[in-house]
Formats: sequence, C-alpha cells, structure tokens
Amino acid sequence: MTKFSNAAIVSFLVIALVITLASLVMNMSQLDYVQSMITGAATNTSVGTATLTVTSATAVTLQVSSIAFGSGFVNTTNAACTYCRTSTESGHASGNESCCSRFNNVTAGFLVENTGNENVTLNVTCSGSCTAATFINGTSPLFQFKIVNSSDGASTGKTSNNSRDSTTDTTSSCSSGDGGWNYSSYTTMAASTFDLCGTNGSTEYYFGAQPTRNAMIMDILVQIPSDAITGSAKTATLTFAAASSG
Amino acid sequence: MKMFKKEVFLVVLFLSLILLPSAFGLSLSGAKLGTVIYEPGKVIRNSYTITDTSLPVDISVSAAGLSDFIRIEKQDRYHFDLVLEFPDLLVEEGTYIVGISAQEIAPEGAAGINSLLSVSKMFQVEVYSREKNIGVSFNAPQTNEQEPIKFELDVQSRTYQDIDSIAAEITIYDSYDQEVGRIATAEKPLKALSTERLSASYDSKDMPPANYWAQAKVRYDGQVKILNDSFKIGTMDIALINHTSILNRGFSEFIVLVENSWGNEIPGVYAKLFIDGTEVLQTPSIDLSPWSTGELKGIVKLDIPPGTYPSIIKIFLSGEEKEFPVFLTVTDEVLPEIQEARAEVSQKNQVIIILSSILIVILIIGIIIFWKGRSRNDYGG
Repeated sequence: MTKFSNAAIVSFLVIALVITLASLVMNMSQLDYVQSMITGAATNTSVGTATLTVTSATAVTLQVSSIAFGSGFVNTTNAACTYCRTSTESGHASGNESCCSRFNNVTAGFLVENTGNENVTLNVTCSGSCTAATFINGTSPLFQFKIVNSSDGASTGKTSNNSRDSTTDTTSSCSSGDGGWNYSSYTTMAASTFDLCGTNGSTEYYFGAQPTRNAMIMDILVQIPSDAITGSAKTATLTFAAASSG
Repeated sequence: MKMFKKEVFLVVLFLSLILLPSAFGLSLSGAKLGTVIYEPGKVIRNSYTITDTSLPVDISVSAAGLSDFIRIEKQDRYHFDLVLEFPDLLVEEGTYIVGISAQEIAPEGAAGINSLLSVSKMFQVEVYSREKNIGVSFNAPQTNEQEPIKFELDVQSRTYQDIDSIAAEITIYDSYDQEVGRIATAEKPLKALSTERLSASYDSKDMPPANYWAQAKVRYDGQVKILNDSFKIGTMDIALINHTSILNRGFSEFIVLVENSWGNEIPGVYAKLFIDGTEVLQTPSIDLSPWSTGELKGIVKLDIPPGTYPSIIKIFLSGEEKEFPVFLTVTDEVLPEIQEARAEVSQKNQVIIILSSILIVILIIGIIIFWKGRSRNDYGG
C-alpha cells in the first residue's frame, strides 16, 4: 500500500488551508447584500435599538445553463440508421446508439430550483430556432421537452440530473392540486410561452419554496434525421420566468 | 516519481472539485408590498436588490392603467427603487396588477440550447369607489351560558368620501330559524379610508346552551350591507363525538373522541370503558381547551368470546361523570390496520438487522486489517 510522506501531507494541508481562507474572503465579500436584508446590529452605543427586516426574495436557480449535444452525424454506413435520437433523460436512445456518431451523450436536463422564500408561478419561453425544422431540419426531425418533478428520481432513479438538487426533493414541487406540472410527457418545442406550473400573470403561485419540494427538471429530446442539412450551429434560448406575489 | 504523479493527480482533482462552476441563478429581493390602497397624492418608494447572477439584467415594470404613475429609479447595476406617485385626481375604480421583472440578457455568440432566467414580483393597487362604500367583517363569538354575547363588526371605508353614520342592527336566531332577540350598536361616523369597530353586548340569560346564528344589518348613509355568522352558547359539558366500535380479542387500542362544549379549559378529562358490566379500561387524562376536541385512548385486553356486547363509556370531568351506553363488537379477525402496522414493524426490524450485520462485518474487517498491518509493522520493525 502506497504511503504519503509527511511533506506531502503537510503540502496538502497547506493547500487546503489556502483554499479555505480564499473561499472565506470571497464569500464574505459576496455577503454585503445580506446586510440590507437582515440587520440585527445596534445603531449606536447609547440606545440599544435592534431592527429585523425579512425581505421577500423571488429567486430561481439553474444547475445547468446550456445543453450541448455537440457536432456529429448520423452513421449512415449502417443501413438501419435513418436518424439519431438522444435525450437528456436517458442519453442516446436504446438500440440507436451506433447511429449517433460523435454527438455528445448528454444525460443532464435543466434542473430549476425555487431558491427564494416565495412560492412562484413558472413558465418557459423559447426564442431563436425553436422548431425542429429550424433547429435541426431534414425529414421528421424532433425537438421536444418534458417536465418532471425532481422528487420522481428518488423513487424511480430515472430522472436525469436530480442528484444536483441542493436538497433532495421528496414531494411534488408544483402543488397545484390539479395534476402538478404541465407538459409531463414529451411536447413539441415552439417559439412560444409554456405555463409549466400555475398560469402566467395569475396568483397561482404553486411552485413551492420549501427545500424538499422546490425543484423540477426539463428534459430535452432531439431526433436528427440522416438527411439533416449540415451548417452552422443553431441556437434556441429558453427563458425560465418565475413570478411571485410581492 | 510514481508517488509524485499520484499527488499531482489528487491536487488537480481536489482543485477541480473546489472550482466546479456553481449554479446559475437570479434573485430579486425587496420588502413585500402586498396590496397598495390608492390614495391621491401618496408617494411610495420601495427598494429592490438583484443578486445571484453574473449576466447583465434588464429591469422592467408593467402596470396597465397606472403606468403614468409608476417608474423605476436605478441606483446601480443591481439595485433600484420602484416609485409609485399617485396623482391628486382619482383614476378609475378597480384592482390594478403591477409587476416588476428582472430578466437576464443573453450573452453574444452562444450556440445550442441555452437558458436564461427571469424573476418577477406582482402586487395589486386597489382604487376604491368614488361612491360611499364599506367592507365589513362580522363576528358572533362562542359564549358560555349566562354570559353576555359580545358581537363585533369591523367596518372599513372603501371610499374617498367621509361617511356620516354607520350603525348595525343584529338579530339572533336559534337553529330552527326562530328569532330569539335583537340588539343595535351605537352610531358612528367613518372617515375616508379609515376603519371603525361597532360592538354590542347581548344578555344570554334566557338562551339555553345550543347552536345559534345572527344576522347583522349594517347601515351607512342610507345604504345597507347584510352579514351572517353562527355561534354556540356553551355549558360545562363533554360531548361524545366518536369511539372505536370493533375490538380484537387480546390487545387492541380503544379511542374515544370527545368535544369540550365550554368556553373554558376543562382539565383532567378521562374515560372508563365497561363491557358487559366489567371495567376493562381507564384512559390517561387530558386537558381540553375551550371548544376543542380531544382523544382519550388506551390499550384494552379482552379474553371474552367474539360477539356484540352492551357497553358503557364513562367520561369523567371536574368531579362529574357522564355515561354513554354503546354496543361494541369483539372479533377474532385481525383488523387491516393492525396487519399493516405489524408488517411495517417487521420491515423496520429487517432493515435494522441488515444494517447491524453490515456494521459488524465492517468492524470485523477493519479490526483484521488493523491487526494485520500492525503485526507486519512489528515484523518489519
């Protein structure tokens, strides 16, 4: 069994100490906004007045900011390969792996967390190349999405990326009482706004802020036909919009 | 050299883990406005902070119908004030929704499927009527027998005019809708946008303990609003709401659900169960809060044959007792809830046994490795 020398152990400790101190300084410098959120300091030395103001924070966090299936081609040397189908839910489709030549096998969808202290409505708007025809082109291309609870992964183990949820969800995060998240099966993407949880502009603030019920995952599925025209990379931008009472 | 490579790899791994990109977020914080009441000439300023993002952010406000009176004043890139400056002239009556949004701006040259974040806060501005109008809440409280009933009405002005007079007449009905009595509150003026409380005390000495309801007619400068509320006249008594009706031979749980019909706490309430004349259970005592329900429960052991038995539940409270004759069924069948509970306990036990076994195995392996290493060192040294 390999043994580390004392010098090596000391060097590890020194590196760890330096990183810890650097992190401390960086974190402290980022904390100035907290002072405006919660203050408990006395205002002068003669009068012991303490104030406490808890602000309303509407906040969402994304664990993945982009999904890059990368550059590749459909392996037409295999006569059975008419397309390459891949999704962030399960990677290259089963039985279709050999058709997806050089495309990245992405298995992490957009994980959206409500990290504020307010329940919100959540919708998503696509802009840019939002249809399969413009984003991929060719014969029968697919560009689809679906929404799943982050908590679903705890029981099925199938939800992509839910391990990055900051606190593992145990309950459905969209408690609308009428079925939870919309678009729970694959839906064609379009240059449009999709109400994912609660209706945009309403007071249906159903996307929870409690740590164990505050996350969802948007999985993306694409199907690239073998006759898709090669060209410059296309962009589709998804804007996740959260609204709370305020 | 080999050891050096391993150290470099570990350092790189360590740094990679530390320096992994953190989550992408967007947060908009500020004091909550809730519902803002429109007041001519009023100015409201609320500060907001944007955090968690490294991208430039576009700030916008939407306020259909009020956009001329609402603006954003930027302090710096991530701080801004929302200013509501209502004019002296009234705008049209109604509820207006105002939204403040912060949206990330996409960086140039991104390809693939990218994402941006947007967060908004919505609040409403209420513009009241030019005509005289009020909002009223009516409370008829639960009351103990022989005590006065204190009716209260909170009247809120929903107009920009003063109201000269508000007053209410309250009519009391029993559960058969027969009128029991009437009482009127004093008359008061109500200033614009202010709130006043109207109250009246009714003597309940002729009202037996029971359920009642009351209707309040609130008059304000020639107009009327009508509200209803129900209430109880209570007495120091306990009502039996429900109880376990099927018991297993052997051990089973017996529960009695009782309600305090009194506006004060009743301490030390307990129950005794008699089956076929034999006392089989005395429950622990509980304190019942005013008008609340509570469970009296205990484990009963029965060795009698299956069948239906005449039984008595006795409830004891403050030195008094109440008897409730009931019929209880004793059965040999194991109830589904007991079966479930047993299965759950069995599963838990299995998990505990497996975990304990794994721990013991790990401990034994650890001890063996430790002793082997130590004896090798002793041998080498």
